[in-house]
Amino acid sequence: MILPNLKFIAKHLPASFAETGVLSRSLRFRGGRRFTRCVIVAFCYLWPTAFHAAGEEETRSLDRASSPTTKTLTSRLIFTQVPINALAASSQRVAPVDRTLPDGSRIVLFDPANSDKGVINLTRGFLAAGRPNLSFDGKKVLFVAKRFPGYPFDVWEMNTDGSGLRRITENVGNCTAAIHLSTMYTMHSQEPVYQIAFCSEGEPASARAIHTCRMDGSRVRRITFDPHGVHDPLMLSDGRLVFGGGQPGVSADLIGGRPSFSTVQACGSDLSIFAAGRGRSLAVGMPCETLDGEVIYVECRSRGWDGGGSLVSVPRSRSLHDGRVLADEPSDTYHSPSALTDGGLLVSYRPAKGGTFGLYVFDPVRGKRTARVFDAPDWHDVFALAVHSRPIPAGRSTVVDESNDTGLLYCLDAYLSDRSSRDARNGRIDRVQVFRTVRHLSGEVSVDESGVLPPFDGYSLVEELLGDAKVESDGSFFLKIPARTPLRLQTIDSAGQLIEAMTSSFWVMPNETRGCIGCHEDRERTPPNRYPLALRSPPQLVGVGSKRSTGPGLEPGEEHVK
Amino acid sequence: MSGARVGGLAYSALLIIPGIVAATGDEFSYYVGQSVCLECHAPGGAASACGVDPIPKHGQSFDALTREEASHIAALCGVSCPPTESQICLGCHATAATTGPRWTKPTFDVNDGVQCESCHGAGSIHVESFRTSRAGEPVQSAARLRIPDSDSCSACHRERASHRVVLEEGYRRPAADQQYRTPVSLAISPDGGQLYVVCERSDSLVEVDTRSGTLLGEVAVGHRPSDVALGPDGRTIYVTNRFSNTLSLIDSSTRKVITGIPVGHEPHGVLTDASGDRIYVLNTGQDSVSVLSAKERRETHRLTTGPGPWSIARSPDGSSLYVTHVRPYPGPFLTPLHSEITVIETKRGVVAARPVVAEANGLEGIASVPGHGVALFTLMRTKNLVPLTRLGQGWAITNGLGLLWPDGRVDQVLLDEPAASFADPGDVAVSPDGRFALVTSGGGNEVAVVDVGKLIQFVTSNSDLRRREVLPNHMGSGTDFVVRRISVGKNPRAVVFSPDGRFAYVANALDDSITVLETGGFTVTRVIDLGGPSEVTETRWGEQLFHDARITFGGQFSCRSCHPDGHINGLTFDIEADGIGMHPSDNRTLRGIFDTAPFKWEGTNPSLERQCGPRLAVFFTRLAPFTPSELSALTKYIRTIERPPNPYRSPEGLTVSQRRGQIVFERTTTNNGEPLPVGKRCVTCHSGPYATSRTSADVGTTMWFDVPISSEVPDVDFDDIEQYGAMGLYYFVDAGIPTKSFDVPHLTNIFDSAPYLHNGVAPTLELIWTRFDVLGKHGMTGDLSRRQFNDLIEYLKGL
Repeated sequence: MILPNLKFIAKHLPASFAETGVLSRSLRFRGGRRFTRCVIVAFCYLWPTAFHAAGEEETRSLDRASSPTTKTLTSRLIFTQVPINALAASSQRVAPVDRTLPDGSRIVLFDPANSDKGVINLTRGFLAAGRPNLSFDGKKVLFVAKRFPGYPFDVWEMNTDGSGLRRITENVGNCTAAIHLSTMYTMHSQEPVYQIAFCSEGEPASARAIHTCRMDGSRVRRITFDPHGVHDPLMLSDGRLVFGGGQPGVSADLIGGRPSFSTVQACGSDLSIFAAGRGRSLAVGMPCETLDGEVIYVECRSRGWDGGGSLVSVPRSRSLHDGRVLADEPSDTYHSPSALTDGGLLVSYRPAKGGTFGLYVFDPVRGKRTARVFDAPDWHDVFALAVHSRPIPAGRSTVVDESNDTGLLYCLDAYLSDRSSRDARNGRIDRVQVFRTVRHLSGEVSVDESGVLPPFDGYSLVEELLGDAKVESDGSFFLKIPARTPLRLQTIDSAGQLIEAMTSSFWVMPNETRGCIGCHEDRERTPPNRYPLALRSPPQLVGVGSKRSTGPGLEPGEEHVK
Repeated sequence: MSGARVGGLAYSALLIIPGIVAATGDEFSYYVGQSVCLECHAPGGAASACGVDPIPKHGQSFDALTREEASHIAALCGVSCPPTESQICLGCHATAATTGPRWTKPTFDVNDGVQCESCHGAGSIHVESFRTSRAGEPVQSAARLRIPDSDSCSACHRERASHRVVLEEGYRRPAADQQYRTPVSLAISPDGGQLYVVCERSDSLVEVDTRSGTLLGEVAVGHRPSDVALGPDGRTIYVTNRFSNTLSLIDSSTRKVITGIPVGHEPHGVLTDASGDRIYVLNTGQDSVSVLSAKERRETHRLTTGPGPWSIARSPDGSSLYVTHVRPYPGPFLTPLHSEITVIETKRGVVAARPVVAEANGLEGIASVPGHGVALFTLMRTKNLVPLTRLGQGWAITNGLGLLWPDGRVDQVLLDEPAASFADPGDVAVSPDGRFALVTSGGGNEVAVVDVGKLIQFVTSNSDLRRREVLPNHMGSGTDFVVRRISVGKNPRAVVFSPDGRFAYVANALDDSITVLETGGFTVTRVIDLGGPSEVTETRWGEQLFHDARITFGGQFSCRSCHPDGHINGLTFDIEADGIGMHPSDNRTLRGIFDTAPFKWEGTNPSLERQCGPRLAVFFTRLAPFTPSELSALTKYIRTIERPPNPYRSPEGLTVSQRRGQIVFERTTTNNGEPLPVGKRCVTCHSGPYATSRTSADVGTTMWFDVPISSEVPDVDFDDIEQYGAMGLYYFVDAGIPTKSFDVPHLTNIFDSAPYLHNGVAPTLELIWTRFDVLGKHGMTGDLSRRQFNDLIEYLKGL
């Protein structure tokens, strides 16, 4: 009986309760079990903070044996420790975040200058905590944590010494990662809005998505709508938000069908492909950006609980090309790189022969680990960050208007494609079809030995044809489409035969006007400077309003399962 | 003169007596001055005195221009000359400013300020008529004077931000603003010992010892110098003076100006032929090249170029000169732009070819590559026909290099990378051995090192189709030939190699310095301070912001990208705010606009602060808006952007044709003698020294593009260009949709602001009426003779 009550309390009391006191809140409860409930409430909300304050010395003694082997780092480190004995118990059907942060996971502080003191547990009082993210001034830490079995992971914030703990999100599903965002502006104000972004697994049928909210947890807005789900957001220095996504566990020839990174602006607009996994990669994730503009990420080629793999580097300025594998030991496993101020990396690494993840300094130029920083034998030491300030990424001014429920999409020339020659398709494109992608739970779930869900496990994608629209003779079209909806386009000829089809989804944000150059054109191709025929008429309504055009091919409302 | 009193005089606009002279007459009235007027019109005189009390301030108004405050006000008005010589200032502070001294009698004294003829018009015919008429005889109509009304007063008596800021808010332009150097061009002596630096702001040429990095001397040249070249022997230095319209000849040994030679309007680039016999000066304000004889030190003839000739380079064998152009040709409405490289044959001094650079604008720096038979030039590819809805993927502006081959073929490649643009490429220099080229990015504060061999290999290894369609539009290909990018000072605008190729020098315009690069490893070895003020004034900071591409996502463009020299790039844009595909908006100049508020073609922005505020960030730069302090600095700089002298405006005043045009412009009756309705008169909207009422007006130019995007508007045959030009009007009116009003633009230096009208549909002034005044709402021109119309155009060009 206690657990449901705790859930109820956690749901209905504000996040600030942990900071503002307990007694007054406890008076809400009436009846003979009042005292018990009060205790529960107090326990529930004070647990993390109370135990944190008292737990530092104890923690130091616990980890004193885990001394580092190098003193090359001068910055304090904050990282996640995952207990190895907890992983074995988490191979059942659980939310992904529970697999990577099983019970007992914690965030610790380690000072290389005082390595003999071991680590300080910053999240004592939580059942599981991890994925720290530093504010740009290096003073605050965002992290995800849960307090009780069955509870979701929420986003919390604390100072780098563990003080100032407060909860930010509440009732937004399982939060798997959170990051600080740069400033956001609108056309009506020069005053910046400060926000965070977090990945959240909401309702079972919905994919993991990135949301933003204010620093107090208010104004939660979803900004990604990939039906396969997204993960591992990172704020790039140029103001874009990069995240992993794509169809998990599937290797394909096409960018949209394989694991990839995409970017959006922090308002969710301007979705663009950033980098794609190479060859047989199953997943890409855990990106970080160095001060000289390289984006380092982990490319996973085998299934495991951790998502570790090879380290790959791409230049932020030209991310779709010029990628290179950094590590020269492809059989070894790297995890969660982060940038150091001297150009080096802080990485988690474990050798192919086994063992736990330890922390190492990595030289991206030489592709070598240069020093071991920390390695606790009973823990996987991952998601490490050196505590220092970093430049604030570029801010963003947005056109997104939440009061609107549509956006505009125009394509300059559907004949521009890197898949087939223009001559072969010239004049053939007649219409463009717009599909809405819906994610459905499919019931049975199969889990392999590692506990990782195979592709499409547990869900399927169903597409509904919203409508179609005329493509002008110059290949341009101009649509008004529903916002915040995963959509897919395909072009057809006058007989309804498919000419080109997107293999991934896209979306527009409310009031966004999204422009495309072509259909699967080279992503380094710039738009041709032409005044498109389609823009000489108002947009064609597809899936919005009452007007729904029809044409060859599927009829509106007709579905097919992908 | 009080408005109330004047209002009493406005008894009937329709009964206003015809203007200075009959519109068709060639007999002009001259300004005689108030002393002559008072012979009869003094109190107690033979004729009636002025109905308005004499206002001492009117008489003192010219003197006000000599006060210290006037120079500060002038600085905020884009005035590049003393206030006492500025038509803008004199327009309200004196009489006969518009017509000029040619049209005054000896009895006229400009020092008398605002005189009788300011309101009543030139009076010589009136005076002569009355002097020669007999009592009781009717006086010819031309002798009658203009009867002013309240609008006549409001042309000057209106809120002027410049005056408020100086006189009420106490603004004083910091002295440091006048003391910056702003190096914009470089030349190096044949032995590499001396570097000559053109300093635009200090109107000087600075000589630097390249070995020690010390300043050897400074020579005062003309106003706003822009380029420098040396004769083949290095003895003579040539400097173009953009606002003086002259070429300074300097003896390099004595550092003395030998002479100044008049050339065309706004001379920019300068170069001699290989022998040094001919000097070629690019008149960027007049689209021409002045060819001068070095021996005779005079212009021998003039060549026509494309719009805005900018820089000039010589082929390695000396047989040809290549001229870049900062503005594109004004092509048909909403069609892709193109620019030109003008090739001059030096043997005869004539234009030999005009290779087209498709879809490119902003051609600035150019240099020949020894041993390869190719010239490299900087370019921009502005996507002005594509809605400005995002910046990613090179959506708005891309930046690159052009390759001009001996046969006239032109290739283009981009220097941008997908998330790292190379904004505002402004100059290029090639090492003496032809291996490397250095290109400056004025907006990115960088210099790109290009491996010329790799560049040529890269280009020539592609098929013709890819060279034509892919390479000009492909970001990232630069990584095949750009060796590195080097951070330099603020706003690098010029680069030059030493004769031995060991060093290169970069002029950082907005921090008054020269960056010295050692070309072995292309590392910065020294930064030479040119001696400008160490203080960065708010205006200077604003100037730096104006030229800094970091204000835009990906560093894609700066304010300067679309407003080179604070002016225009001659393009129209499709901006998201008013709906895409519709409302193409003509780019407007920023020169001298502080007193012309409101801004935007819709006239909805009352101040520069609003114009450059959050909306600019949302719809243009796509990054965080300027902070309040940045916005203040930026707008302060924009206020001070200078307007160059008008070549159609002689210091002596209007030409005869322009004077006739002025009469048409100011007329109150038709050629038939019918009263011209107030709304049909030019001066109703285009009044005062800026020739704008600063209101909105519907002159029948609303076109198909200007309707709300959701409106049901008849389809238009866009393939019918002839129909298209005017059709926007016909179709629009036929649809029965109300027309719109647009901001009345100021007309100062309107001659160089093509294209015209709110959507840039009119490539020339004439076409405003001959093609786009279908409804006859833009004044009254239908009754004008061909000569009258041409005179009117000539007058407008001189404003």
